Amino acid sequence: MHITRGFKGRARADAATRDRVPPGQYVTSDFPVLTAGPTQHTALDDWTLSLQLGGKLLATWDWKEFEALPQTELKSDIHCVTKWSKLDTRWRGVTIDDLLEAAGIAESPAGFVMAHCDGGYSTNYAIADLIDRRAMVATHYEGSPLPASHGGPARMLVPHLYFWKSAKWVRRLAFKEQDAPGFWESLGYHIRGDPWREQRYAGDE
Amino acid sequence: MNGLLPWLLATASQLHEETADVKTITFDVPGWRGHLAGQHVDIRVTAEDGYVAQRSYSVASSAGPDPRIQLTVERVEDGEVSPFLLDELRVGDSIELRGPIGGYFIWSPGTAGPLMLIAGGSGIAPLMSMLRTRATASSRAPVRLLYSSRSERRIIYRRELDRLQGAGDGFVVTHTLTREVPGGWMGERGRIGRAMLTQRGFAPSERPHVFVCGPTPFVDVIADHLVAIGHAGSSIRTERFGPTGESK
Amino acid sequence: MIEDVVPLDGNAAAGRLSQLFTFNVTLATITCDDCAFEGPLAELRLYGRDAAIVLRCRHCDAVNIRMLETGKSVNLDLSGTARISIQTASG
Repeated sequence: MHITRGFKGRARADAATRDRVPPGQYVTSDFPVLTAGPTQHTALDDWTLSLQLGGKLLATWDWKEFEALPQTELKSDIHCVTKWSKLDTRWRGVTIDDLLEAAGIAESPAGFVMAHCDGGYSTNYAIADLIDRRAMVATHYEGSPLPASHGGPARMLVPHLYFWKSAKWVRRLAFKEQDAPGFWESLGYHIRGDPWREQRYAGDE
Repeated sequence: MNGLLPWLLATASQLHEETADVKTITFDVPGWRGHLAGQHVDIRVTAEDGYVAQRSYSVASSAGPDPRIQLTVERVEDGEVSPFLLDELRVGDSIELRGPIGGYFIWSPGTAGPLMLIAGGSGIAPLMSMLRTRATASSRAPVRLLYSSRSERRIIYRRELDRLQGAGDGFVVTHTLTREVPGGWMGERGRIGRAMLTQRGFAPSERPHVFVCGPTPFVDVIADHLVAIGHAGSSIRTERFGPTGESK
Repeated sequence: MIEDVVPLDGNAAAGRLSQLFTFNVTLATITCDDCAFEGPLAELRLYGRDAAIVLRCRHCDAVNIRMLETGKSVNLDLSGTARISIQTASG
């Protein structure tokens, strides 16, 4: 590959932040985006979030009910598979632990979850990646309601995995006995996507 | 037919300021297989730490086998590659380039029928290749260009368009300004709409080949207008430009 | 920062797709597997960025084509496309 004299690209990590970001990532102050389709707009009156096991509905909340659930605030770095990381992002939402509790489920009914979203997007998780405060359904970003272009009214937030796993416009979490690839995973992104192990693509260890 | 398109090394040989935010860069590209009017290239630039960025630009120069091609680049606000091309790239510097690309948004002088070209901002670049190709071939195919710019000083290729029109060989250009209109302005004002397309373009009955290029919202609206006033969808070719790379 | 996503079109994917097709892919007629809409690949709506491309039907927004370049492979998913048709030289 030919090094282009004079090309630097967007400002990237300096030494101070380098230890904070996973291998192969660059730091940006912009919000990294990997779109798969048009921005979804769902009115709050029409919005529901459901937990499902096979054909069985385990729990469902409308917007008012969902906002009344225990709220958690967190600050986290986010890492996009496109190599951009954004530091210290602030979110508010409902952790998956609190969702399960609100649903009266003491323990996850299955080992895996598929998130289904408005617009047809999907992504998969092992349940261990969602519980123990590792993940939430987020409704606020930097103190304000999540705009549609950032996944609002609600999106998954799973910041310890590559950000394609933080699915925008989430509407349904389906528990599954077996792991199955979601939208990007089925195209060749890694089934799990741990940025600290640089699991970008299927076949990466 | 393609064959695999290899990455070629392209060396900048000339830099020309078109407007405050637009430059035309001439690249010498050994191994260039020639291009048709309307085709584009992908370029690739690599930083010292291995960071890579790739973008697409239309070839603005006339069709043909000449391995010196011109790309017209507009500054993208908070862009990553365009500031490099506009502010850093020097004569003698090299980038990687792949092309020519595209078989849909192309026009050749042998094509019968009038040509209707509609450009928004830097969308003029591939259409300029068509106009230059037409001139080189001494084609007398009637051409009408509707060119929308935000202000007079943002019009790209102004003098050349005037000169081509002055040749009197059937080319007419209509400029419209959408944001800043200077006193004494003799062209159109405001966005291109159905009235302007009807008055300044060819009638659907003349069966023009229509090419629309510019930002996505511009192209989508114009294409809808064209169909609404009776142009056959199959006669309209579109190419959408937009900022790529990081979002906010 | 909060604007809706604005897609490009299939023209912008042509260079990357040229790695997989011997013909000018922008001219190929794509039949949507969802709604049967037919049109040139150039007119599909392009989402994604750089190496991860999603091309959607301009009529119904269904995913017609997806492509991912991983550095080690180029993966193409045509499951949303019922048919690709390219005109060979006419008689």
